[in-house]
Amino acid sequence: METSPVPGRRLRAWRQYGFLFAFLVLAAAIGVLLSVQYREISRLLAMTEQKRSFFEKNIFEQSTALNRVVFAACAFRVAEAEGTSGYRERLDLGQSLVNHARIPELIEPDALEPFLGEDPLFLHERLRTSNERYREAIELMGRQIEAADAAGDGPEGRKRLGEFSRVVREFDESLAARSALFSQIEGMFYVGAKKLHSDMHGVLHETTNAFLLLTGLLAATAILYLRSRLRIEVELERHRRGLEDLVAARTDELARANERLTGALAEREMLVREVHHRVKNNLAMIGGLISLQRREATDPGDVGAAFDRLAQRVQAVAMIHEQLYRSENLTGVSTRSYIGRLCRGLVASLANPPGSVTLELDVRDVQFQASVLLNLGLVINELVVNALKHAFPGGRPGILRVRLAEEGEGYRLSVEDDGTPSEEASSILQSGSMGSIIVRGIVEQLGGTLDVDTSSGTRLSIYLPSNRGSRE
Amino acid sequence: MAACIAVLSLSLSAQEPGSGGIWSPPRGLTAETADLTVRGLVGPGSSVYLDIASIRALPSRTFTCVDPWDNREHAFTGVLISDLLARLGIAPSAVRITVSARNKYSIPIRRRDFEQYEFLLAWAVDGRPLPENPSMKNRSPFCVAIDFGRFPELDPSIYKHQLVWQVNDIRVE
Repeated sequence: METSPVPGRRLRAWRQYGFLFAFLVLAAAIGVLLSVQYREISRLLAMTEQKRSFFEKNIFEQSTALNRVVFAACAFRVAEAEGTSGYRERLDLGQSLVNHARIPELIEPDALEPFLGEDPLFLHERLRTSNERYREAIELMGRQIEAADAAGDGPEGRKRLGEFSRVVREFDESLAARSALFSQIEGMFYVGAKKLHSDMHGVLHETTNAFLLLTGLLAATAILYLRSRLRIEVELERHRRGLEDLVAARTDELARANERLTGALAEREMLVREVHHRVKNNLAMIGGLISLQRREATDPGDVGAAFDRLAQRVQAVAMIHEQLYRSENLTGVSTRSYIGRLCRGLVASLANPPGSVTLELDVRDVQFQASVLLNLGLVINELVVNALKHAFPGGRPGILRVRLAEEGEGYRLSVEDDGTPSEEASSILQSGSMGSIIVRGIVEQLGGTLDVDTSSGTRLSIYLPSNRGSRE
Repeated sequence: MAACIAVLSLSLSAQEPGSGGIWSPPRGLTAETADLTVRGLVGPGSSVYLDIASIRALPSRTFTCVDPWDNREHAFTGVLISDLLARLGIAPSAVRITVSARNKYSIPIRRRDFEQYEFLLAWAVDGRPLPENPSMKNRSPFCVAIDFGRFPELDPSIYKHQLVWQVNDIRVE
């Protein structure tokens, strides 16, 4: 199962951070842009408002007032030209003119300053000059009309009125120039308003473009980021599935191992129980042997020999366990090796003189259940000990043959010797001796049959049917 | 040395109109007979009197643009104001001129404006000299013309006030 190399994973992580960073930067840029442009537009709008209100309050008002002055001057001059008006009438018209002329509060050129920009028409200077002349003119006209009024209708009065007339003429001319100046100032304001509008449009246009660009970049970043994430997701999915497969395989293995262990455990438990069972049985058997031996031991002098015999019998049982312990699977004992060791041990310890008895073994390595083999061991123990004790009196050499072979559907175990036939051996079928009882009891337990043949030497054989004896 | 200067000044004064350098105005004109009076060239009191013919004789140029007063395209033919004043010898310290009309209208123009943007003193419109053009009688004999097409940075609604008609006086300041 391949796993991704660590450097690749780290690179991917950095790319992710890169995308996120770019995203945040762009979002921040958009925020900054919008706020800057908002401020700009606010400023422009404020300026527009300022201009508009200044214009309305000052320029427009003054232009209107100026028009009224022009009308008044015109009316005076027309009356004069027509010559039909009397002194009083003309005086009134003159006074009316002066009154009208005094109404407008003159705009100071400095107030215009913020709105003029480059001022190629010299509006600032010309307004200042025009205002001065205007003030001078109305002051003069005011004085003159008062003088004419005071003088009354007469030569003095008319003379004053004549002077007034002259001044009005000059004033009228200057009014034309002042009107032109005001229309130029108005024009400046309209121009300013238009410029402002186009400025704002420019700003909005710029903003929209920048905004679209940034949003585009933002979208692109988002798409790239999502794509990269998608790829990561796909890879992760692939890895996850790989891991799942791996985990499944391992789980499988573990399950099987578990099964085996459980089986092995169960088997072991069973084996342990079997061992306990066997130990219990063997101990019970030993207990039985002890009881039997005790029944037989009527002669107190023979206690030593009785214990020896008991010890041998117990030894035969113990040897089984030794073999079991030694064997590999704790359940099978090699029949051949067991019987061999058992017989060799008995011959070695009981043949007198040592080496006078030749042991011949012909044992098939049949698989017996340990309990069966144990019983067979006990039987062999009895038969061999009997032979060794009674078949070779006086140290007479001889042969002791122990055979185990298949016969028909079962097996035949035989212990024969070429020595002197003994009472013990030949009466084994009826004898009440412990050994005979043991042998007869076991043979019966195993479902076999016991034969005695004393035709040449002594031959004791046991036939065991296979379904009782052998290991299935 | 003195002879050289004398020769130089003679040759300068005898120059043909149109060949560059200081130009001598026509003689014999007065304030009443002149079509155009140029004042303040070399000092506050100085005056130069010109007539239509002498101005027409100067090298002229023509451009076509939309006139802001009637919103129609016209071809204006005339002499560059900067050229005219240069030929008459305008002082380097002068910063503006005030152009006045027969009807008493007057307006100042910045020197850098009329030089940079090549303001024209036009004496013919659409190929016809102003006095002979019945539809242009109000502008006769001279009018100021600005090529708005060529200089888009000039806002016609401001600069139209400098397109003086019936120009009869230029005061240099």
